[in-house]
Amino acid sequence: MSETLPTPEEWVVAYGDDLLAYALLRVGDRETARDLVQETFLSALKGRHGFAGRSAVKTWLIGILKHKVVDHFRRASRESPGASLAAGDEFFDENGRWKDPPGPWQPDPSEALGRQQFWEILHRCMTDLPRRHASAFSLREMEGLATEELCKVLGVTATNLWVLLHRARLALRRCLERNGFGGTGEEVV
Amino acid sequence: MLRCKEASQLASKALDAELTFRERVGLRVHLFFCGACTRYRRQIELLHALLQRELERLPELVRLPGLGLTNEERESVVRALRVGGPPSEG
Repeated sequence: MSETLPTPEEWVVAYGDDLLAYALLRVGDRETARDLVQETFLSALKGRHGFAGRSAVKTWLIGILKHKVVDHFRRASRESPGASLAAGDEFFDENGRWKDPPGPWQPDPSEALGRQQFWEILHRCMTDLPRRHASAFSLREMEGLATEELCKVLGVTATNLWVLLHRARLALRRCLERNGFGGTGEEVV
Repeated sequence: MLRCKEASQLASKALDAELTFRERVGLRVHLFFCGACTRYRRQIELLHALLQRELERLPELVRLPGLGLTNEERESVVRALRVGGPPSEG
């Protein structure tokens, strides 16, 4: 039983919100997210006759959007000059010890802050990261790309990738702690 | 013995790839003695788990204020489709 495609306008009404949410969670800024959603619909429109109804329309659209997101990060990552990988030693002293050891977190920041605030804080902190770090982190943690594919998309070696992700996590963790994830009380992490 | 600088790097790598036997042992020994790095590892693991969980709940997220298209945005996208796409059928 094939699924008949509604009109393009009906697509936007039916799926636009989901696609925007998907994009926004990954890229963080609304303008970019909107552009990606629009490009997704345009691509889908061009390719609609190739869509044989094998999967749900939404799954198909999200698949297209996912590619657009990956492309976006590929471009973002290559356009920004690579920060020296040796930089970022700001977290450790000359003896390799934490300058500022991690403080306690609440056990479930999303529950404690509410989900909207959770995402707002996360996005704010991701915006503070250098673009290559943010790209690597988002592609890894939100798109779930594995090492091999990440290396291809970002144009780095596996070792460089792991350093990128490590730096991203160090900076993000600190920013999140300072902006609401930190906690006191009995149950801390 | 690893220092915090190396141990934290391994804790992060463990989220993305398999550690070698040597790396795993080195990390475990360091964590035994180091509360700061133990905490660091727990927190990046928590962040990793939170993101997984939150992203799975996408349908609920869409209803959060600001996460859906505004009417203007919707109209703008539809306009772009009319211009950029083939004429609508039937």
